[in-house]
Amino acid sequence: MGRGKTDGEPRITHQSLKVLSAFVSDPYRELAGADLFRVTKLASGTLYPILARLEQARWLRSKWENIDSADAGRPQRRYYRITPTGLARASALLAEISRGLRA
Amino acid sequence: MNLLDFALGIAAAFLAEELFGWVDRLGQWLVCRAARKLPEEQARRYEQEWRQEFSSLPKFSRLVFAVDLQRAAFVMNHQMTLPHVSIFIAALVRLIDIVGAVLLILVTFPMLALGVIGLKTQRGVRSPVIERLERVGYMGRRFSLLKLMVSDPSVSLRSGERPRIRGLAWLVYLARIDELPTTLNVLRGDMSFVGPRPESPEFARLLAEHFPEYSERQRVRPGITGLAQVRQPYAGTLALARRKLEYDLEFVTSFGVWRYVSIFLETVWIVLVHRR
Repeated sequence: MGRGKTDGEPRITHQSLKVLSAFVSDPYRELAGADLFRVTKLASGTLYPILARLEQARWLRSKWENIDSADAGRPQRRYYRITPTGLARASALLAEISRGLRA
Repeated sequence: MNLLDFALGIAAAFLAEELFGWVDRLGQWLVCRAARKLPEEQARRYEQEWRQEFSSLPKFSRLVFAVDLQRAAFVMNHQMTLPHVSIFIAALVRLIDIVGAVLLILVTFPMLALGVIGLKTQRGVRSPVIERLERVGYMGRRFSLLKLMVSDPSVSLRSGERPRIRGLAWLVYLARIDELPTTLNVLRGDMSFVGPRPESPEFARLLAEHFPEYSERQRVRPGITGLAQVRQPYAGTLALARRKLEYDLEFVTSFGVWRYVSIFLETVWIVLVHRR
């Protein structure tokens, strides 16, 4: 079964802009779900579908934290990071919106 | 502080600890439940990710997080399967399924109970009455289709021999009471009232070998009735199987409330008027 679009333009909503802003403000920073809850104030039912959508469009990528769970005494976290494509597209979108607001 | 205050304080702390323990367990169960609704290749990843996030949250927020993950799983599945359909339409169809299943279970419970009692009377109290048939469902996930067991499991069959339905079991079969437990599949989200027919893994594999687009019908929940069932009841040949698949795919592309309701009404018409 096909899994929807990949590499295409993801649907951008007010909430997905909040998520993208969190990444654009510090593009090299990796963010876990808990960080994104704190920054965006979105609920889990809203946040994870957005992350899945942006990841499917290759605007974000995610990977497991590189730690030994036994040594750290906790399970690995999944960290999200913005891709160069995502950064370019999200920056353009946010700039466009901010221009629209100023006009 | 007197002794009573001290005892009450200890009791309150104990109760709070116990309550948090139960809430935590319920939350963890909800997290696993949400992750397992996703396609198999994603379920593992999200279960691990969400369990970790769940344990990192303050205790008060955990249950809200876990409950809302049910919504996340629904939306994520919808994004992957029916991106051309509004999420509100998909949610409305699911709501109709849930409300319909609850009402049907309440209304038909006496009939189901009579059917179970009838089968137990015929075969003995310890005899199993619920049949679990493995089927391929939404997004290729396997599930157990529930039915009342009308053929006697204690009767051994020779190869190729069809199971015989005897006595009270025949009445259960004739009145279609054996199909009532399938309503539980609808309530659980394995199935819908309307959708492509759920097939056994072997048959699904066979059809997928012949028709590359076969898996597209898994973009919607399988149904008790469906467009293919009302338009093309039998598919004894490959050509007819292809025709049924075309109806299933037509249902997927035109998925909506009106489509759902019209197929449902058409089924009622066929059952009541044509007695098919």
